[in-house]
Amino acid sequence: MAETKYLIIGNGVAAISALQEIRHADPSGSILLVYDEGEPFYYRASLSEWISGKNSDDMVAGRTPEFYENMKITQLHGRVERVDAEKHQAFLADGETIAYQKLLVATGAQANRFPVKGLGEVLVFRTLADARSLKERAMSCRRALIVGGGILGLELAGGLHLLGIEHVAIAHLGPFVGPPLLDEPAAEWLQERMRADRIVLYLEDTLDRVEGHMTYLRSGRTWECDTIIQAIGVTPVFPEVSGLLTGRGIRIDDHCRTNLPDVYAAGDCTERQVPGSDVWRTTRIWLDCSWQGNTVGRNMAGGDDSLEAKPFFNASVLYTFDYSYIGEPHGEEGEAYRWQGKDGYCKVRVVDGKFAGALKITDRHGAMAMREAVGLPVEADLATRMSHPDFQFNNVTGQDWDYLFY
Amino acid sequence: MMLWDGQAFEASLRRIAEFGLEDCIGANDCMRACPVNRLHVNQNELDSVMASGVWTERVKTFVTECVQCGDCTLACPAQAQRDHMMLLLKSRLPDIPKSWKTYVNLKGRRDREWLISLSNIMARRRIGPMGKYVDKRSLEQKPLLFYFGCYIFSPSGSPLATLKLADRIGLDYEVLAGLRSCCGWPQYLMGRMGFAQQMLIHLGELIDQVRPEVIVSGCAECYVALLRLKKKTAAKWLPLTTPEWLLRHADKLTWNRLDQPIAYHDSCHISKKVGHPQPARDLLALMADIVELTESPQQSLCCGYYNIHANPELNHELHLKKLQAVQEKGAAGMAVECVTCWESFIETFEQANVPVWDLMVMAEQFTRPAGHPTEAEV
Repeated sequence: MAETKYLIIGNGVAAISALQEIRHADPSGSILLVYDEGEPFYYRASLSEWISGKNSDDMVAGRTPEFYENMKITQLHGRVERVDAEKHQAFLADGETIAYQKLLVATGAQANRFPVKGLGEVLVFRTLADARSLKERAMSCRRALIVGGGILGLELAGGLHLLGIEHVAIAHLGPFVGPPLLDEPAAEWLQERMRADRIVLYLEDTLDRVEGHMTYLRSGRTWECDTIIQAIGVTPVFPEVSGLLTGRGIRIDDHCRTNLPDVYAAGDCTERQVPGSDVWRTTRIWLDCSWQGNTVGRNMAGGDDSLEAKPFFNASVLYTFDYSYIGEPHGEEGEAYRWQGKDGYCKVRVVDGKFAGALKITDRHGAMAMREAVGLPVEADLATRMSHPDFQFNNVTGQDWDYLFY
Repeated sequence: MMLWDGQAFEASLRRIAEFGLEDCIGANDCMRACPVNRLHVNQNELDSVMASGVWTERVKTFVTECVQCGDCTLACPAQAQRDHMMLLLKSRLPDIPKSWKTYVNLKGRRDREWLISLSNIMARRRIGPMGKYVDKRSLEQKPLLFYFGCYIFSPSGSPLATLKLADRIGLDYEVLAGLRSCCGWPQYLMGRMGFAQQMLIHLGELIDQVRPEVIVSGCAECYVALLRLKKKTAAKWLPLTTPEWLLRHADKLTWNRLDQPIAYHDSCHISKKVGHPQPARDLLALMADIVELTESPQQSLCCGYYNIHANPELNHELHLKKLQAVQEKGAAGMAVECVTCWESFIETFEQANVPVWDLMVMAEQFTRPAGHPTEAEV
């Protein structure tokens, strides 16, 4: 039976962040990293850029091979099927048993798939293996259908468009693409640009059946294609752990502890309680997973760290555009101020005279500063000032938040 | 009154740099945007060194040659501030290049008193009438302070031109200049946080003696150091770049125009990082038609100064690219607002007989009253 002080299951950003923190706090404790993907940590969030050819093969890995040596990490390719938390033992699918002192479950989430009549092969976009299949397929792809117009579907559409595939359609059940990141006006702005790129959008519609190269949508509309990809969300995955409290994901507190001693969890496989409610929420945000990984790593190595209550922040790529999502830009309460043009879109939301959040597409200047400004009072003439072409968004509260560089 | 003890200096850099590691999604846009990534270092190499603390030769070279232009940060879709990560890595470099050691032998050093005194004796002779302003023993209280710091010694002639302009307008001012009032930014941009912090705090104490309302600087690094100081100390004074200051008095001067178009080079610190590309253009427009070298100021190619001559060949390539762009656009020369940019470009441009104008020197020449002797005649 193998033994380790720290057992980490997973190869995502939560796992890598945790092991970095553990190693800094405990230079000599043995760390065993077990994952079943066949790849060490890679940049999942930029796979579409690899598919599109913008990034080369050597840019996909998140850390170099020397990194794992330098950090004294032992890696094992295998799938943990079951954990006996009382005995501090993990059981792998190949029959091996690993004894641990502290366990981190950071196994992430898997792409949802749904059966469609006539559809033999279901392509999804989540892992590097998925991306490899898609890239291989993309070589001969002429016409593609993406089922699901959420963030992942939009990212994929952007990747295929950049790859030069001229006929790409999205079937999306909702009335507009990109929720919950986008509200309707923001989605309209984006949809207009996607249509200009000849992306076909079938809204309030989804795939019903497939006959040869012809897809039939629920509305009766048809789209001929040779590649169909489902991008309809993800579901947390984790091994069976005796006595572990779970909902959709593993339930953790703000220290990333589970209900079991020496069993911790972080990242996409977890859910946390929304303060003051009975609601538990999973996360799908890279930065959240990274922060959870940092926190859990410190705590596994003997620290007492809790997740900071920071305003929500995410910055990444939406279709082919950069975007920043700060705080809570959408909601019924308060006032929303919008600015849009052919080169960008911005929405700022103010609740009770205080800056509540913003969504910025293309021009992201000042986004980091705006994160610092969440909850601060805004000046009364914000709407007027925003319409001015020289308005500096890092100055949304009237304070000089030149955080971006200095 | 200085209230800031400077303790947050290193901690805030570390916090921002670590955020860059947490937030990195692997787009690699930062590395593509970098003007000096001649080794084609990938961000996973950089992230690995940042996370493990174990250097590779490639990353060591790359970090040493980083010019702190900020193009990486502007390119990042995830808003990671890669330039701060590079700065933190600079502060952790196991070997400091010889050129850096020479460069900061006196600049930003409060522990080299007698050497600075010796240097000042020589320098005062060299810079003639401006010598009286070098490390003045007592400073008068004035509403306007020209802050030249160590660029009082600049061969650009910018400080003298600035004071001539102030005299022409009829302003009353004090001057703060010399190695003892260094802003600390040369140290900062090499990652030497302790020296940088010490110098910036000392600068704040010197400024307190003048109690100015406005402080004017013609060096981009000095200017951002002032911004930092103001922010940290909640000071009341207003920092201005030399073009921002002169534009306020433009109507008191008579402007002559050059009959050929001039290109404008954006300072990374002022145009890209602080985001003020316009004042210098507005000033230049009073004297010449402007040729834009790139579609937007954010695309401007850095002068390369702030790897501090760690790789002169690499910087020379940057200068040649800029020269080529100026020539291709048919400009008769190039104007700059920052003295370090001027010092960076001048040798390559002079070899090609293409003038590089410091905006203050240019303004001083183009606002001379009729009958005033030219520089050559003087």
